[in-house]
Amino acid sequence: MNWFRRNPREFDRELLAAYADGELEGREELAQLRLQVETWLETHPEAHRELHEYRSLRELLEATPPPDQEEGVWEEMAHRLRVTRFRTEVPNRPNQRWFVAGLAGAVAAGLAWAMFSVPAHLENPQAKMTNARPGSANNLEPFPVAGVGEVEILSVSGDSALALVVGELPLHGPMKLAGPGEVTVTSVQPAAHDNMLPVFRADGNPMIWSRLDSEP
Amino acid sequence: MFSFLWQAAGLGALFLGMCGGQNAGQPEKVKVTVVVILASESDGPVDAQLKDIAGEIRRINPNLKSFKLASMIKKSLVPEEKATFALVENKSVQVIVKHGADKDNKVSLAITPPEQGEIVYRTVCGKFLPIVTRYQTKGRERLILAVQVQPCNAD
Repeated sequence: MNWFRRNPREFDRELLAAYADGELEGREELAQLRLQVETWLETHPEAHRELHEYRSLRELLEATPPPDQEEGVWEEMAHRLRVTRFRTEVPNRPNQRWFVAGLAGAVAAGLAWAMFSVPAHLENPQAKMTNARPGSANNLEPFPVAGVGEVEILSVSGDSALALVVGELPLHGPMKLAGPGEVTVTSVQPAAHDNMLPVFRADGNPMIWSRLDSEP
Repeated sequence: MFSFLWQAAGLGALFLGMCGGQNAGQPEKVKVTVVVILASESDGPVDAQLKDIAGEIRRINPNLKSFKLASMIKKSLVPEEKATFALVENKSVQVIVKHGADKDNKVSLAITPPEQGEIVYRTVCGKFLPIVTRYQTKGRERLILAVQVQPCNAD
């Protein structure tokens, strides 16, 4: 189980609690996991507070055991549990008894069939392997990732462009500006509310400029 | 049997010709790319891709100091198709491709920036035309558009 599956920067609290309880100690198969926890704790000192809280809670529980019950309390409770379960399971009417008996027989027959018929995957282990989904525990093939040129990005905000690993952006590389003589303005309509007309500047690289009131 | 084969070949050729004819009749699409830029009079960085356009704009208005690439959008349009490109703060720009690459290898566009009238112009392909609008955002940033079309003939 990959304890970092959700977010490598967040630690699973269950794992931290297990570490605090000493459940990772003395077990060779968990040595690597214990090392990961300790390495993570070294780089996240803020987690030490939570670890300390877990350990304090455990010590508190150990220091305050439940009071000893009087003799016979546990036997009485066990008897009451048995009676209650038996009362809810046994049907009161004869028809219900026959129904339950029939149902039990059908279940037993189904179990017997399942036990004595050979499961398909035991006869043909390869069949189960080929039906496994990519990325599952039985299939170690990596997920296919789109390659360069296979994804075309149609719209992206500036900051998000940095997060894209593959994909052809609408703009890649420096912007090439149109040069002198490469743009010709055919017509310009004035703005509806104040008749403002933008200026087409052709000195240098061509540009259309709509002047603000504050601009000269 | 041979006459049947000739008839089948003839029908096949006719079918292929119809398909080719249908494809040839459809106008070629023009990809229009709109880059949305926000320029500010406050000190700040100039995005690397905007270095050249920032230099050109500063020649006219040196007060614009920082330039940020807000977004970039690309759409494929056929001639006379109107498209709306979302900008910032619910503003948008309308673009119509008037015609694809002509004999001069230029594409004609009609563009209506926010709070302005329509501008029709002819431009080469693969290069951007800066359009400095008079719209300012709530943060007093000047909205600038850069528009590019592709492809032209032999692109």
